[in-house]
Amino acid sequence: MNTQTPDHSMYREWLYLELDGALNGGQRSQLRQHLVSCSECQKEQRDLIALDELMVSSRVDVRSDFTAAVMSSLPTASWESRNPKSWGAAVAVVLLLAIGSGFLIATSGDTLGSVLPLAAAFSAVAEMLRSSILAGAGLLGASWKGLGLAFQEVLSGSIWNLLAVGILVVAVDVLLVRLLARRASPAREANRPQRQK
Amino acid sequence: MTTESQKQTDAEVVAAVLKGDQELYGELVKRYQGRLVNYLCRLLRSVQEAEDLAQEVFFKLYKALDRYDPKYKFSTWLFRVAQNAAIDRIRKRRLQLVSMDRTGDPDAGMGTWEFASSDPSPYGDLRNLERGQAIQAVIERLPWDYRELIVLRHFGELSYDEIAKLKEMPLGTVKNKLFRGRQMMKDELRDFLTD
Repeated sequence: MNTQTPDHSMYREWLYLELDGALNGGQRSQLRQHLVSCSECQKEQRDLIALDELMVSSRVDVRSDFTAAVMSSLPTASWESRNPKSWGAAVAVVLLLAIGSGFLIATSGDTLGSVLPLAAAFSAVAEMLRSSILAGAGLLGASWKGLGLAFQEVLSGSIWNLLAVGILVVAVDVLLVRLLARRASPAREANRPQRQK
Repeated sequence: MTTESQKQTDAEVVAAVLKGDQELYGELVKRYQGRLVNYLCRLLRSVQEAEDLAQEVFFKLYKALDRYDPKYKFSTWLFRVAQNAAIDRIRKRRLQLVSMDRTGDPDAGMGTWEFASSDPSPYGDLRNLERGQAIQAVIERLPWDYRELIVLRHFGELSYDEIAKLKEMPLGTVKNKLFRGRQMMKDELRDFLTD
């Protein structure tokens, strides 16, 4: 805002700024002093207030079910995002169990079962988990090996086999790129630069 | 919606929604629905269309909420998305109208504007209709850059700072354009201001 001594045209601008609450205290008191003696600015102020009231009175009311309509159109949040704390608790329990089991595995002996039945139970659970992990790893290894063999079979075949695999890979890539582009589009829209009409 | 949520800032509400409290997004909708619909209404000249587009905008923002940068005001982001959506809608509408009647006025057949009347008398209805049409006509006669700012200020109820950020204009330019735009409106609506 200009710091020079305000003239009449500046007071007129200040009338608009005052209406929008954009004048500082000093400017406001200067304007009030000026208004006491300036009938032209008094008239301008009355007109401005009337214009503002006219525009306020022309605002429309939003229909009463608008919020509900918006909320019902939103995609439902997944369980884990609606209950993040529940997931945290579950993860904490599993971690605790894993740490306890690990400790028991490390310290367990043949005689432990007869000494501490509860500890033996934990140890058994831990052994079961370890067996499951080993079995899963074995299955995964076998699957990868099988997949590798299948690919080897296909790729070492005719040129047509190679071509078919190539087309399949390109198609999957295009599909992925399109899905990623669709996912990113709301952000692009939101950050799109403003345009002039 | 609780009183607690009403005290939260927009950024806090967004953070809570992102943590999983989806219902809280309704608080943001409530905060801005009136301003957004009124802003769109003045650009699109139809309450129904403004409400439909406002709903689309809220939906679009919800889907992109994880990309909201709390450094910026939520209102600025919301109105920027709404502005782009409104311009797209106006362009599509014009294309449709031009393709239907290549010689006609693109705005022809858009209907008239009417206030909700608080005066039950026939005279009051007529007066409200006249006022509504007069305001809309004056707004539409303003140059686009003045018109945008007037609508953002008086119907979107954005502050000077918010408008300056949204339009990426210096604050002084915003003040100046609003001053000139309102002077033009005041001159044209003189008959409605004096009585």
